[in-house]
Amino acid sequence: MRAVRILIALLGILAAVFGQPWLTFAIMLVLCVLFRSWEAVLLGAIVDFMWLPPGHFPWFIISAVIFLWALEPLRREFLAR
Amino acid sequence: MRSDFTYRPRHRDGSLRSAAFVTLAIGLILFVDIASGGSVRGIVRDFGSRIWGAGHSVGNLLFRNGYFTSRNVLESQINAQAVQIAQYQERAAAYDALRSQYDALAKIAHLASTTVGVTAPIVSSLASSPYGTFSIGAGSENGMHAGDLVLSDTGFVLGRITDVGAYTSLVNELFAPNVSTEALVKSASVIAVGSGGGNARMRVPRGIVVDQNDTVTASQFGGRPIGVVGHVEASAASAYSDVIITLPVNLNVVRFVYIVSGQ
Repeated sequence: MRAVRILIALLGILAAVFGQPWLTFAIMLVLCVLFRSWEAVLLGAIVDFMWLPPGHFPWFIISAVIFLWALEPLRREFLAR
Repeated sequence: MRSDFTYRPRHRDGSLRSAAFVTLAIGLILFVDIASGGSVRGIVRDFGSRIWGAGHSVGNLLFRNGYFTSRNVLESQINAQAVQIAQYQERAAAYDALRSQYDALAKIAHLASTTVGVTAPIVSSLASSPYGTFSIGAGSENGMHAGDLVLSDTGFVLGRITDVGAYTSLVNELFAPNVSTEALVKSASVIAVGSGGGNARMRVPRGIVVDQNDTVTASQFGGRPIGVVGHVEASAASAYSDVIITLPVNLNVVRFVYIVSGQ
C-alpha cells in the first residue's frame, strides 16, 4: 500500500504541473479517501503556489485540508490507514 | 450497541501526527507567502517552470522522433540500422524545434517594430491552472511589472501580469473563468465574462447587429483586440443576443508572448 500511496502522490505532482486541474483535485480526493495522506495537502499547496494569482482564495489547499480531516472518521472505520 | 464501536482495531501511529504537522506547516508557509507578497509562490513557480520545461523538451523529443508511431514503422526502423536512424531523427527533431522557435519569434517581430515591449517564452502549461493563469519566463529582472499586458504574436490581448517573480511572472488570462472585461463590439460597450479556454460570453442589445468574425476590442487596453465574435445566438423573445467571443489564437501552440507596459 505504501508503494501505491507514493505512486499516486507522484502522479499528483505531475498532474499539478502538466495535467488538468480536475485530475489533481481527483488525486487529492483519492489519496485522502484511501490514506491519512499529508501528501494531499502538499499537492494542494503546489497547485496554489504555482497558479494562484494574488488576492484569490487558495481553493486547493483548503480543499485538501478539508478532505484530509473530514474523511478521518470514514478512514478510521472502513478503509486502509 | 456501543456508540464507539469500530470494525478496525485502533492503532497508534505517526500518520496522524504527520498529517497535523504538514497541515500546520503549509498553513504557516501560506501565511508567510501572503505576508511577504508572494515570495514562496515565486520560488515554487520557478521550480515548476523548470520541471515543465524539462518535461516539455522530453515530450517534444519523443514525439518528434516518431517514437510513438505505428508498430510497422518502428519495426522497419529497427531493421534498418535503428541506431543510426535514431541519431538522424534526433538531429532532425532538434532542427524542427529550432525552426519552430525561429518561426514563432519571426511572427512576433513585427509587434516589436510598432510597440515597445519584451518578448518572453511561456514556461508553463496553459491547461493546468485552475485559476486561468500561466507563467512566462520573464520577471522583475527583465523589467516586468504587475499590470503589464500580454499580447499574442498577432497582437491580441491574452491577459495581464498579476504576480512578478525574479525570472518568471504569473499571467492572469483575460478570458479566465468569471473574469469580467469591458469590451467594445460594433461601437457598443458590453461586459464580456470569461469562460476559460480562450472563450468569453457577452450579451449585446438586439438592435446592434453583430456578425461572426467581428473584432472585439477593449478601450482599457488601448483599443487593442481581445477576440473575435465566434457565435451569435439571437432569440425573438429576448431583447439581447448572446454572443460568444473566441480568441483566434490556439493557446496550446503559443510559445512566445509579447509584453507591453500596462495602460
